[in-house]
Amino acid sequence: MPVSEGAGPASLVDRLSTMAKNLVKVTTTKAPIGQSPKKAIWTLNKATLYRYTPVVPPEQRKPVPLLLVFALMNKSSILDLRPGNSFVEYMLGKGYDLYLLDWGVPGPEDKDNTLGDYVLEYIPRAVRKLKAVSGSDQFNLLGWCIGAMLSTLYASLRPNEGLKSLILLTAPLDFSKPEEISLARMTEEKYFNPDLVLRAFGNMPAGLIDYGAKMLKPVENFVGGYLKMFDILDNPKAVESWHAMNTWVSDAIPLPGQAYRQFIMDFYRGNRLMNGTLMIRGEKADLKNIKAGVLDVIAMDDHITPPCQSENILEKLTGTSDKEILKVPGGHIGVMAGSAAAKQTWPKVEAWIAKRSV
Amino acid sequence: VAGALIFSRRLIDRTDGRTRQHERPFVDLRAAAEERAMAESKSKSEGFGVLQTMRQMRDAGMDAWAKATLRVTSSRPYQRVQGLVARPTLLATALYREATGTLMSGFLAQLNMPSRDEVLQVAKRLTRIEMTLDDLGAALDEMRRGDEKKPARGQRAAAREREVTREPTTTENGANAASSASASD
Repeated sequence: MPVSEGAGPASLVDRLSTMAKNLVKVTTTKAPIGQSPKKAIWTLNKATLYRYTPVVPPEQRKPVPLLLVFALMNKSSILDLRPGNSFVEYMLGKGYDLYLLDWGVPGPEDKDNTLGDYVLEYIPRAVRKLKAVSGSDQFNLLGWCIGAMLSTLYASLRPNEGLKSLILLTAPLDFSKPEEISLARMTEEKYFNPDLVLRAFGNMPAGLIDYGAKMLKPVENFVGGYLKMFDILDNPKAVESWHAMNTWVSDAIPLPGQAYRQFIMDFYRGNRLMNGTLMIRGEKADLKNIKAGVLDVIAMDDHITPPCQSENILEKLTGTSDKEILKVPGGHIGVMAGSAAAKQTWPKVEAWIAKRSV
Repeated sequence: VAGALIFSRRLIDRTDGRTRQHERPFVDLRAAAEERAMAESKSKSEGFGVLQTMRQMRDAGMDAWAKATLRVTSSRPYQRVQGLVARPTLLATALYREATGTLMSGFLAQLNMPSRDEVLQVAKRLTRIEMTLDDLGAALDEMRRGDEKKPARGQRAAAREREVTREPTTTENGANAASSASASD
Protein backbone atom coordinates (compact mmCIF):
# COMPACT_ATOMS: atom_id res chain seq x y z
CA MET A 1 0.00 0.00 0.00
CA PRO A 2 1.51 3.35 -0.93
CA VAL A 3 2.21 5.78 1.93
CA SER A 4 3.47 9.30 1.36
CA GLU A 5 6.60 10.81 2.78
CA GLY A 6 6.89 13.59 5.31
CA ALA A 7 3.21 13.75 6.23
CA GLY A 8 1.71 14.14 9.66
CA PRO A 9 -0.96 11.87 11.11
CA ALA A 10 -3.76 14.16 9.84
CA SER A 11 -2.44 13.92 6.30
CA LEU A 12 -2.13 10.17 6.59
CA VAL A 13 -5.74 9.93 7.76
CA ASP A 14 -6.84 12.10 4.80
CA ARG A 15 -4.99 9.86 2.42
CA LEU A 16 -6.39 6.68 3.90
CA SER A 17 -9.86 8.20 3.76
CA THR A 18 -9.39 9.08 0.06
CA MET A 19 -8.17 5.58 -0.63
CA ALA A 20 -11.14 4.04 1.14
CA LYS A 21 -13.57 6.27 -0.77
CA ASN A 22 -11.94 5.41 -4.08
CA LEU A 23 -11.94 1.71 -3.27
CA VAL A 24 -15.66 1.78 -2.50
CA LYS A 25 -16.28 3.78 -5.68
CA VAL A 26 -14.47 1.42 -8.04
CA THR A 27 -15.90 -1.72 -6.47
CA THR A 28 -19.52 -0.64 -6.19
CA THR A 29 -20.19 1.73 -9.10
CA LYS A 30 -19.79 1.95 -12.85
CA ALA A 31 -17.91 4.89 -14.31
CA PRO A 32 -19.83 7.07 -16.76
CA ILE A 33 -18.43 6.27 -20.21
CA GLY A 34 -19.43 7.20 -23.77
CA GLN A 35 -20.68 10.63 -22.76
CA SER A 36 -20.23 12.71 -25.92
CA PRO A 37 -23.64 14.01 -27.04
CA LYS A 38 -25.11 11.96 -29.88
CA LYS A 39 -28.41 11.32 -31.52
CA ALA A 40 -29.80 7.99 -32.77
CA ILE A 41 -30.71 8.43 -36.44
CA TRP A 42 -31.37 4.85 -37.47
CA THR A 43 -32.06 1.51 -35.82
CA LEU A 44 -32.40 -2.05 -37.03
CA ASN A 45 -32.96 -4.88 -34.58
CA LYS A 46 -30.37 -4.14 -31.82
CA ALA A 47 -28.12 -1.99 -34.02
CA THR A 48 -28.22 1.79 -33.81
CA LEU A 49 -26.57 4.42 -35.96
CA TYR A 50 -25.63 7.49 -33.94
CA ARG A 51 -24.61 10.88 -35.17
CA TYR A 52 -22.37 12.80 -32.77
CA THR A 53 -23.30 16.40 -32.21
CA PRO A 54 -20.69 18.48 -34.07
CA VAL A 55 -18.69 20.92 -31.98
CA VAL A 56 -17.28 23.13 -34.72
CA PRO A 57 -19.21 25.53 -36.99
CA PRO A 58 -20.49 24.04 -40.28
CA GLU A 59 -18.00 25.95 -42.43
CA GLN A 60 -15.08 24.36 -40.55
CA ARG A 61 -16.40 20.81 -40.81
CA LYS A 62 -14.91 18.14 -43.05
CA PRO A 63 -17.25 17.44 -45.99
CA VAL A 64 -16.77 13.65 -45.96
CA PRO A 65 -18.42 11.92 -42.98
CA LEU A 66 -16.62 9.29 -40.93
CA LEU A 67 -18.35 6.10 -39.81
CA LEU A 68 -16.99 4.20 -36.78
CA VAL A 69 -17.58 0.46 -36.46
CA PHE A 70 -16.46 -1.45 -33.39
CA ALA A 71 -16.35 -5.16 -32.54
CA LEU A 72 -19.45 -7.27 -31.99
CA MET A 73 -18.52 -8.56 -28.53
CA ASN A 74 -17.64 -5.35 -26.69
CA LYS A 75 -19.39 -2.06 -26.30
CA SER A 76 -18.41 0.74 -28.63
CA SER A 77 -18.12 3.21 -25.75
CA ILE A 78 -14.35 2.53 -25.75
CA LEU A 79 -14.16 4.99 -28.64
CA ASP A 80 -15.54 7.64 -26.33
CA LEU A 81 -14.21 6.46 -22.98
CA ARG A 82 -14.35 9.67 -20.97
CA PRO A 83 -13.87 13.42 -21.46
CA GLY A 84 -10.22 14.11 -22.07
CA ASN A 85 -9.51 10.55 -23.19
CA SER A 86 -11.91 10.07 -26.07
CA PHE A 87 -11.16 9.47 -29.73
CA VAL A 88 -14.66 10.69 -30.58
CA GLU A 89 -14.10 13.96 -28.72
CA TYR A 90 -10.75 14.40 -30.48
CA MET A 91 -12.22 13.84 -33.94
CA LEU A 92 -15.20 16.09 -33.27
CA GLY A 93 -12.76 18.80 -32.26
CA LYS A 94 -11.03 18.37 -35.61
CA GLY A 95 -14.28 19.04 -37.44
CA TYR A 96 -15.42 15.57 -38.49
CA ASP A 97 -19.05 14.69 -39.12
CA LEU A 98 -18.91 11.57 -36.98
CA TYR A 99 -21.23 8.54 -37.01
CA LEU A 100 -21.10 5.42 -34.88
CA LEU A 101 -22.65 2.08 -35.76
CA ASP A 102 -23.36 0.44 -32.42
CA TRP A 103 -24.26 -3.26 -32.69
CA GLY A 104 -26.14 -3.40 -29.40
CA VAL A 105 -26.50 -6.48 -27.23
CA PRO A 106 -27.68 -9.59 -29.11
CA GLY A 107 -30.42 -11.69 -27.59
CA PRO A 108 -31.20 -15.40 -28.02
CA GLU A 109 -33.22 -14.52 -31.14
CA ASP A 110 -30.01 -13.31 -32.81
CA LYS A 111 -28.15 -16.62 -32.51
CA ASP A 112 -28.53 -17.29 -36.25
CA ASN A 113 -27.09 -13.94 -37.31
CA THR A 114 -24.09 -14.50 -39.55
CA LEU A 115 -21.25 -12.23 -40.57
CA GLY A 116 -23.13 -11.91 -43.87
CA ASP A 117 -26.10 -10.38 -42.06
CA TYR A 118 -23.92 -7.70 -40.51
CA VAL A 119 -21.92 -7.01 -43.67
CA LEU A 120 -24.72 -7.16 -46.24
CA GLU A 121 -27.83 -6.17 -44.29
CA TYR A 122 -26.84 -3.87 -41.45
CA ILE A 123 -23.81 -1.93 -42.71
CA PRO A 124 -25.26 -1.08 -46.18
CA ARG A 125 -28.50 0.19 -44.61
CA ALA A 126 -26.60 2.24 -42.03
CA VAL A 127 -24.44 3.67 -44.82
CA ARG A 128 -27.56 4.55 -46.83
CA LYS A 129 -28.93 6.46 -43.85
CA LEU A 130 -25.60 8.14 -43.20
CA LYS A 131 -25.49 9.38 -46.79
CA ALA A 132 -29.06 10.65 -46.59
CA VAL A 133 -28.43 12.53 -43.34
CA SER A 134 -25.01 13.92 -44.23
CA GLY A 135 -25.90 14.72 -47.83
CA SER A 136 -22.56 13.29 -48.94
CA ASP A 137 -22.21 10.47 -51.46
CA GLN A 138 -18.83 9.52 -50.07
CA PHE A 139 -17.76 8.43 -46.62
CA ASN A 140 -14.77 7.13 -44.69
CA LEU A 141 -15.00 3.99 -42.60
CA LEU A 142 -13.00 3.21 -39.47
CA GLY A 143 -13.20 -0.30 -38.06
CA TRP A 144 -11.57 -1.62 -34.93
CA CYS A 145 -10.89 -5.29 -34.09
CA ILE A 146 -13.76 -7.41 -35.48
CA GLY A 147 -15.28 -4.12 -36.61
CA ALA A 148 -12.24 -3.79 -38.89
CA MET A 149 -12.85 -7.28 -40.20
CA LEU A 150 -16.50 -6.48 -40.95
CA SER A 151 -15.47 -3.20 -42.57
CA THR A 152 -12.96 -5.04 -44.77
CA LEU A 153 -15.61 -7.52 -45.85
CA TYR A 154 -18.00 -4.67 -46.61
CA ALA A 155 -15.34 -2.82 -48.62
CA SER A 156 -14.60 -5.92 -50.65
CA LEU A 157 -18.24 -6.87 -51.27
CA ARG A 158 -19.62 -3.36 -51.87
CA PRO A 159 -16.72 -1.40 -53.38
CA ASN A 160 -18.91 1.01 -55.34
CA GLU A 161 -21.04 2.41 -52.53
CA GLY A 162 -19.04 5.58 -52.01
CA LEU A 163 -16.38 4.31 -49.61
CA LYS A 164 -13.49 6.74 -49.94
CA SER A 165 -11.10 5.37 -47.36
CA LEU A 166 -10.91 2.47 -44.95
CA ILE A 167 -9.07 2.66 -41.64
CA LEU A 168 -8.35 -0.69 -40.03
CA LEU A 169 -7.32 -0.75 -36.39
CA THR A 170 -5.83 -4.01 -35.10
CA ALA A 171 -7.69 -5.99 -37.74
CA PRO A 172 -7.68 -9.80 -37.38
CA LEU A 173 -7.52 -10.77 -41.06
CA ASP A 174 -4.56 -13.06 -41.59
CA PHE A 175 -4.52 -16.39 -39.75
CA SER A 176 -1.66 -18.00 -41.65
CA LYS A 177 0.63 -18.11 -38.59
CA PRO A 178 -1.48 -19.84 -35.91
CA GLU A 179 1.57 -20.53 -33.74
CA GLU A 180 1.92 -16.76 -33.19
CA ILE A 181 -1.78 -16.23 -32.42
CA SER A 182 -2.68 -17.26 -28.88
CA LEU A 183 -6.41 -17.35 -29.59
CA ALA A 184 -5.80 -19.66 -32.55
CA ARG A 185 -4.08 -22.17 -30.25
CA MET A 186 -6.98 -21.91 -27.83
CA THR A 187 -9.55 -22.62 -30.54
CA GLU A 188 -7.73 -25.45 -32.31
CA GLU A 189 -9.98 -28.18 -33.66
CA LYS A 190 -8.41 -30.82 -31.43
CA TYR A 191 -9.34 -29.01 -28.22
CA PHE A 192 -12.33 -26.84 -28.97
CA ASN A 193 -15.71 -27.45 -30.57
CA PRO A 194 -17.68 -24.23 -31.24
CA ASP A 195 -20.81 -26.21 -32.17
CA LEU A 196 -20.96 -27.62 -28.68
CA VAL A 197 -20.78 -24.13 -27.19
CA LEU A 198 -23.60 -22.93 -29.43
CA ARG A 199 -25.68 -26.02 -28.70
CA ALA A 200 -25.33 -25.27 -24.99
CA PHE A 201 -25.81 -21.49 -25.08
CA GLY A 202 -27.08 -20.37 -28.48
CA ASN A 203 -24.80 -17.34 -28.57
CA MET A 204 -21.19 -17.30 -27.43
CA PRO A 205 -21.60 -16.07 -23.83
CA ALA A 206 -19.91 -12.83 -22.82
CA GLY A 207 -18.34 -14.56 -19.82
CA LEU A 208 -16.58 -17.12 -22.00
CA ILE A 209 -15.28 -14.46 -24.39
CA ASP A 210 -14.01 -12.47 -21.43
CA TYR A 211 -12.39 -15.57 -19.92
CA GLY A 212 -10.70 -16.42 -23.21
CA ALA A 213 -9.34 -12.89 -23.64
CA LYS A 214 -8.12 -12.72 -20.05
CA MET A 215 -6.43 -16.11 -20.23
CA LEU A 216 -4.11 -14.72 -22.88
CA LYS A 217 -2.37 -12.88 -20.02
CA PRO A 218 -3.87 -14.45 -16.92
CA VAL A 219 -1.74 -12.94 -14.15
CA GLU A 220 -1.85 -9.43 -15.59
CA ASN A 221 -5.61 -9.56 -16.13
CA PHE A 222 -6.79 -11.39 -13.03
CA VAL A 223 -4.28 -9.96 -10.51
CA GLY A 224 -2.04 -7.27 -12.00
CA GLY A 225 -4.84 -4.89 -12.92
CA TYR A 226 -6.16 -4.84 -9.36
CA LEU A 227 -2.70 -4.42 -7.85
CA LYS A 228 -2.24 -1.45 -10.13
CA MET A 229 -5.50 -0.06 -8.84
CA PHE A 230 -4.23 -0.36 -5.23
CA ASP A 231 -1.05 1.48 -6.22
CA ILE A 232 -2.97 4.49 -7.48
CA LEU A 233 -5.81 4.45 -4.98
CA ASP A 234 -4.75 7.76 -3.37
CA ASN A 235 -4.82 9.55 -6.72
CA PRO A 236 -8.39 10.45 -7.74
CA LYS A 237 -7.51 11.26 -11.36
CA ALA A 238 -5.66 8.01 -11.92
CA VAL A 239 -8.46 6.10 -10.20
CA GLU A 240 -10.99 7.77 -12.49
CA SER A 241 -9.04 6.60 -15.51
CA TRP A 242 -8.70 3.03 -14.17
CA HIS A 243 -12.38 2.96 -13.20
CA ALA A 244 -13.51 4.00 -16.69
CA MET A 245 -11.39 1.33 -18.37
CA ASN A 246 -12.45 -1.34 -15.88
CA THR A 247 -16.10 -0.45 -16.42
CA TRP A 248 -15.70 -0.97 -20.13
CA VAL A 249 -13.64 -4.18 -19.81
CA SER A 250 -16.13 -5.80 -17.45
CA ASP A 251 -19.09 -4.97 -19.67
CA ALA A 252 -18.61 -7.56 -22.41
CA ILE A 253 -21.54 -8.73 -24.52
CA PRO A 254 -22.32 -12.09 -26.13
CA LEU A 255 -21.38 -12.80 -29.73
CA PRO A 256 -24.17 -14.05 -32.03
CA GLY A 257 -23.73 -17.81 -32.37
CA GLN A 258 -23.48 -18.27 -36.13
CA ALA A 259 -21.23 -15.23 -36.54
CA TYR A 260 -18.92 -16.71 -33.92
CA ARG A 261 -18.94 -20.11 -35.62
CA GLN A 262 -18.11 -18.50 -38.96
CA PHE A 263 -15.32 -16.54 -37.34
CA ILE A 264 -13.74 -19.71 -35.96
CA MET A 265 -14.30 -21.92 -39.01
CA ASP A 266 -13.68 -19.50 -41.89
CA PHE A 267 -11.08 -17.28 -40.31
CA TYR A 268 -9.20 -18.96 -37.48
CA ARG A 269 -9.19 -22.42 -39.03
CA GLY A 270 -9.68 -21.78 -42.75
CA ASN A 271 -7.97 -18.37 -43.23
CA ARG A 272 -10.36 -18.03 -46.14
CA LEU A 273 -10.22 -14.27 -46.62
CA MET A 274 -6.48 -14.31 -47.21
CA ASN A 275 -6.73 -17.46 -49.34
CA GLY A 276 -9.39 -15.80 -51.49
CA THR A 277 -11.97 -18.52 -50.84
CA LEU A 278 -14.32 -16.74 -48.44
CA MET A 279 -17.93 -16.75 -49.56
CA ILE A 280 -20.46 -14.45 -47.87
CA ARG A 281 -24.01 -15.35 -48.88
CA GLY A 282 -22.79 -16.73 -52.15
CA GLU A 283 -20.63 -13.69 -52.94
CA LYS A 284 -16.88 -14.00 -52.99
CA ALA A 285 -15.17 -11.63 -50.56
CA ASP A 286 -12.02 -10.75 -52.43
CA LEU A 287 -9.52 -8.23 -51.06
CA LYS A 288 -8.63 -7.33 -54.65
CA ASN A 289 -12.04 -5.69 -54.99
CA ILE A 290 -11.27 -2.98 -52.42
CA LYS A 291 -10.89 0.33 -54.24
CA ALA A 292 -10.84 2.71 -51.27
CA GLY A 293 -7.64 4.02 -49.70
CA VAL A 294 -6.55 1.81 -46.80
CA LEU A 295 -4.72 2.67 -43.58
CA ASP A 296 -3.74 -0.45 -41.68
CA VAL A 297 -2.95 0.45 -38.05
CA ILE A 298 -0.96 -2.20 -36.19
CA ALA A 299 -0.43 -2.19 -32.43
CA MET A 300 3.05 -3.51 -31.84
CA ASP A 301 2.31 -4.98 -28.38
CA ASP A 302 -1.06 -6.46 -29.27
CA HIS A 303 -1.44 -9.96 -27.80
CA ILE A 304 -5.06 -10.41 -28.96
CA THR A 305 -4.50 -9.53 -32.62
CA PRO A 306 -0.72 -9.81 -33.01
CA PRO A 307 0.92 -7.77 -35.81
CA CYS A 308 1.23 -10.86 -38.02
CA GLN A 309 -2.56 -10.84 -38.42
CA SER A 310 -2.65 -7.62 -40.39
CA GLU A 311 0.82 -6.70 -41.59
CA ASN A 312 0.66 -8.68 -44.84
CA ILE A 313 -2.76 -7.64 -46.06
CA LEU A 314 -1.57 -4.70 -48.14
CA GLU A 315 0.00 -7.14 -50.62
CA LYS A 316 -3.46 -8.52 -51.30
CA LEU A 317 -5.03 -5.11 -51.87
CA THR A 318 -4.18 -4.84 -55.53
CA GLY A 319 -7.28 -2.80 -56.37
CA THR A 320 -5.97 0.33 -54.67
CA SER A 321 -2.67 2.15 -54.77
CA ASP A 322 -3.48 4.34 -51.77
CA LYS A 323 -2.48 2.02 -48.94
CA GLU A 324 -0.31 2.45 -45.90
CA ILE A 325 0.72 0.65 -42.74
CA LEU A 326 1.00 2.55 -39.47
CA LYS A 327 2.77 0.77 -36.64
CA VAL A 328 2.23 2.27 -33.23
CA PRO A 329 3.33 1.18 -29.76
CA GLY A 330 0.58 -0.15 -27.51
CA GLY A 331 -1.75 -3.06 -26.96
CA HIS A 332 -5.02 -4.07 -28.57
CA ILE A 333 -7.08 -1.49 -26.68
CA GLY A 334 -4.37 0.80 -25.35
CA VAL A 335 -3.44 1.78 -28.90
CA MET A 336 -6.62 3.86 -29.12
CA ALA A 337 -7.76 4.27 -25.52
CA GLY A 338 -4.53 4.35 -23.53
CA SER A 339 -3.04 7.49 -22.03
CA ALA A 340 -0.49 7.69 -24.87
CA ALA A 341 -3.06 7.30 -27.66
CA ALA A 342 -3.78 11.04 -27.80
CA LYS A 343 -0.15 11.67 -28.68
CA GLN A 344 0.89 8.60 -30.60
CA THR A 345 -2.10 7.24 -32.49
CA TRP A 346 -4.92 9.75 -32.89
CA PRO A 347 -2.92 12.57 -34.58
CA LYS A 348 -1.43 10.16 -37.13
CA VAL A 349 -4.75 8.51 -37.90
CA GLU A 350 -6.48 11.88 -38.10
CA ALA A 351 -3.83 13.34 -40.40
CA TRP A 352 -4.28 10.41 -42.78
CA ILE A 353 -8.07 10.69 -42.79
CA ALA A 354 -7.95 14.48 -43.14
CA LYS A 355 -6.22 14.15 -46.52
CA ARG A 356 -9.07 11.92 -47.68
CA SER A 357 -11.87 14.03 -46.26
CA VAL A 358 -11.80 16.84 -48.81
CA VAL B 1 21.49 11.47 -2.46
CA ALA B 2 18.40 9.55 -3.46
CA GLY B 3 16.19 12.26 -1.96
CA ALA B 4 18.06 14.97 -3.85
CA LEU B 5 17.74 13.01 -7.06
CA ILE B 6 14.00 12.51 -6.61
CA PHE B 7 13.56 16.20 -5.76
CA SER B 8 15.55 17.39 -8.79
CA ARG B 9 13.68 14.98 -11.09
CA ARG B 10 10.33 16.25 -9.86
CA LEU B 11 11.50 19.83 -10.31
CA ILE B 12 12.55 19.10 -13.89
CA ASP B 13 9.26 17.33 -14.59
CA ARG B 14 7.23 20.23 -13.23
CA THR B 15 9.18 22.88 -15.11
CA ASP B 16 9.01 20.85 -18.29
CA GLY B 17 5.26 20.44 -17.89
CA ARG B 18 4.75 24.16 -17.26
CA THR B 19 6.74 25.28 -20.31
CA ARG B 20 4.94 22.90 -22.63
CA GLN B 21 1.45 23.60 -21.34
CA HIS B 22 0.73 26.53 -23.66
CA GLU B 23 1.56 24.53 -26.76
CA ARG B 24 -0.77 21.62 -26.10
CA PRO B 25 -4.41 21.22 -27.11
CA PHE B 26 -7.08 20.60 -24.49
CA VAL B 27 -7.15 16.80 -24.79
CA ASP B 28 -3.41 16.62 -24.58
CA LEU B 29 -3.42 18.76 -21.45
CA ARG B 30 -5.83 16.42 -19.71
CA ALA B 31 -3.72 13.42 -20.58
CA ALA B 32 -0.57 15.23 -19.51
CA ALA B 33 -2.15 16.27 -16.20
CA GLU B 34 -3.17 12.69 -15.61
CA GLU B 35 0.27 11.38 -16.39
CA ARG B 36 1.79 13.93 -14.02
CA ALA B 37 -0.68 12.90 -11.33
CA MET B 38 0.23 9.24 -11.87
CA ALA B 39 3.93 10.08 -11.79
CA GLU B 40 3.50 12.16 -8.63
CA SER B 41 1.56 9.38 -6.99
CA LYS B 42 4.29 6.96 -7.94
CA SER B 43 7.08 9.20 -6.75
CA LYS B 44 5.23 9.87 -3.48
CA SER B 45 4.93 6.19 -2.83
CA GLU B 46 8.56 5.81 -3.79
CA GLY B 47 9.44 8.16 -0.95
CA PHE B 48 10.41 5.41 1.46
CA GLY B 49 13.31 3.32 0.30
CA VAL B 50 11.93 0.26 2.04
CA LEU B 51 8.57 0.57 0.30
CA GLN B 52 10.25 1.12 -3.01
CA THR B 53 12.33 -2.01 -2.60
CA MET B 54 9.25 -3.97 -1.56
CA ARG B 55 7.40 -2.74 -4.60
CA GLN B 56 10.26 -3.66 -6.90
CA MET B 57 10.38 -7.12 -5.36
CA ARG B 58 6.64 -7.50 -5.79
CA ASP B 59 6.79 -6.38 -9.43
CA ALA B 60 9.68 -8.73 -10.16
CA GLY B 61 7.75 -11.57 -8.53
CA MET B 62 4.66 -10.71 -10.54
CA ASP B 63 6.64 -10.69 -13.77
CA ALA B 64 8.12 -14.10 -13.05
CA TRP B 65 4.71 -15.44 -12.05
CA ALA B 66 3.10 -14.00 -15.19
CA LYS B 67 5.73 -15.57 -17.46
CA ALA B 68 5.49 -18.95 -15.75
CA THR B 69 1.69 -18.96 -15.89
CA LEU B 70 1.65 -17.92 -19.51
CA ARG B 71 4.07 -20.71 -20.36
CA VAL B 72 1.65 -23.17 -18.77
CA THR B 73 -1.60 -21.75 -20.18
CA SER B 74 -0.30 -21.50 -23.73
CA SER B 75 1.06 -25.04 -23.76
CA ARG B 76 -0.56 -27.94 -25.64
CA PRO B 77 -1.11 -30.07 -22.51
CA TYR B 78 -3.00 -27.21 -20.86
CA GLN B 79 -5.20 -26.76 -23.94
CA ARG B 80 -5.84 -30.50 -23.97
CA VAL B 81 -6.85 -30.51 -20.29
CA GLN B 82 -9.08 -27.49 -20.84
CA GLY B 83 -10.72 -29.25 -23.79
CA LEU B 84 -11.21 -32.41 -21.75
CA VAL B 85 -12.93 -30.44 -18.99
CA ALA B 86 -14.97 -28.24 -21.32
CA ARG B 87 -16.35 -30.97 -23.57
CA PRO B 88 -18.44 -32.91 -20.97
CA THR B 89 -19.46 -29.68 -19.23
CA LEU B 90 -20.77 -28.17 -22.44
CA LEU B 91 -22.41 -31.41 -23.47
CA ALA B 92 -24.18 -31.69 -20.11
CA THR B 93 -25.32 -28.07 -20.36
CA ALA B 94 -26.62 -28.63 -23.90
CA LEU B 95 -28.49 -31.80 -22.94
CA TYR B 96 -29.99 -30.13 -19.87
CA ARG B 97 -31.09 -27.16 -21.96
CA GLU B 98 -32.63 -29.34 -24.65
CA ALA B 99 -34.44 -31.47 -22.07
CA THR B 100 -35.89 -28.48 -20.21
CA GLY B 101 -36.80 -26.86 -23.56
CA THR B 102 -38.77 -29.93 -24.65
CA LEU B 103 -40.45 -30.21 -21.26
CA MET B 104 -41.40 -26.53 -21.16
CA SER B 105 -42.70 -26.57 -24.76
CA GLY B 106 -45.14 -29.34 -23.91
CA PHE B 107 -46.18 -27.63 -20.71
CA LEU B 108 -46.70 -24.26 -22.42
CA ALA B 109 -48.67 -25.91 -25.24
CA GLN B 110 -51.03 -27.34 -22.62
CA LEU B 111 -51.52 -23.81 -21.31
CA ASN B 112 -52.10 -22.51 -24.85
CA MET B 113 -48.99 -20.36 -24.63
CA PRO B 114 -46.18 -19.95 -27.16
CA SER B 115 -42.94 -21.82 -26.62
CA ARG B 116 -39.49 -20.15 -26.45
CA ASP B 117 -38.75 -21.11 -30.05
CA GLU B 118 -42.02 -19.61 -31.24
CA VAL B 119 -41.28 -16.33 -29.47
CA LEU B 120 -37.80 -16.29 -31.01
CA GLN B 121 -39.31 -16.88 -34.46
CA VAL B 122 -41.62 -13.89 -33.96
CA ALA B 123 -38.63 -11.73 -33.01
CA LYS B 124 -36.80 -12.81 -36.17
CA ARG B 125 -39.83 -12.02 -38.30
CA LEU B 126 -40.04 -8.58 -36.72
CA THR B 127 -36.44 -7.93 -37.71
CA ARG B 128 -37.28 -8.92 -41.31
CA ILE B 129 -40.30 -6.59 -41.26
CA GLU B 130 -38.09 -3.84 -39.86
CA MET B 131 -35.68 -4.32 -42.77
CA THR B 132 -38.50 -4.13 -45.30
CA LEU B 133 -39.86 -0.97 -43.68
CA ASP B 134 -36.37 0.51 -43.68
CA ASP B 135 -36.06 -0.17 -47.41
CA LEU B 136 -39.50 1.32 -48.07
CA GLY B 137 -38.65 4.41 -46.01
CA ALA B 138 -35.39 4.84 -47.91
CA ALA B 139 -37.19 4.43 -51.26
CA LEU B 140 -39.74 7.08 -50.24
CA ASP B 141 -36.95 9.43 -49.17
CA GLU B 142 -35.27 8.85 -52.50
CA MET B 143 -38.48 9.65 -54.37
CA ARG B 144 -39.02 12.78 -52.27
CA ARG B 145 -35.50 13.96 -52.97
CA GLY B 146 -36.00 13.25 -56.67
CA ASP B 147 -39.19 15.33 -56.62
CA GLU B 148 -37.43 18.17 -54.83
CA LYS B 149 -34.75 18.23 -57.49
CA LYS B 150 -37.37 18.51 -60.25
CA PRO B 151 -39.19 21.87 -60.62
CA ALA B 152 -42.58 22.05 -58.92
CA ARG B 153 -45.73 21.30 -60.94
CA GLY B 154 -46.85 24.94 -61.05
CA GLN B 155 -43.41 26.00 -62.16
CA ARG B 156 -43.41 23.31 -64.83
CA ALA B 157 -46.76 24.54 -66.16
CA ALA B 158 -45.56 28.14 -66.25
CA ALA B 159 -42.41 27.09 -68.06
CA ARG B 160 -44.46 25.15 -70.56
CA GLU B 161 -46.68 28.18 -71.04
CA ARG B 162 -43.68 30.42 -71.65
CA GLU B 163 -42.35 27.94 -74.21
CA VAL B 164 -45.71 27.81 -75.96
CA THR B 165 -46.06 31.60 -76.17
CA ARG B 166 -42.48 31.96 -77.39
CA GLU B 167 -42.87 29.51 -80.29
CA PRO B 168 -44.69 31.07 -83.30
CA THR B 169 -46.28 27.81 -84.48
CA THR B 170 -47.97 27.19 -81.17
CA THR B 171 -48.90 30.82 -80.34
CA GLU B 172 -52.42 30.30 -81.55
CA ASN B 173 -53.06 27.44 -79.18
CA GLY B 174 -51.00 28.99 -76.39
CA ALA B 175 -53.97 30.10 -74.31
CA ASN B 176 -55.58 26.69 -74.61
CA ALA B 177 -52.35 24.93 -73.72
CA ALA B 178 -51.81 27.19 -70.73
CA SER B 179 -55.36 26.73 -69.52
CA SER B 180 -55.19 22.95 -69.96
CA ALA B 181 -51.86 22.88 -68.14
CA SER B 182 -53.23 24.90 -65.24
CA ALA B 183 -56.37 22.76 -65.22
CA SER B 184 -54.27 19.63 -65.00
CA ASP B 185 -52.41 21.19 -62.07
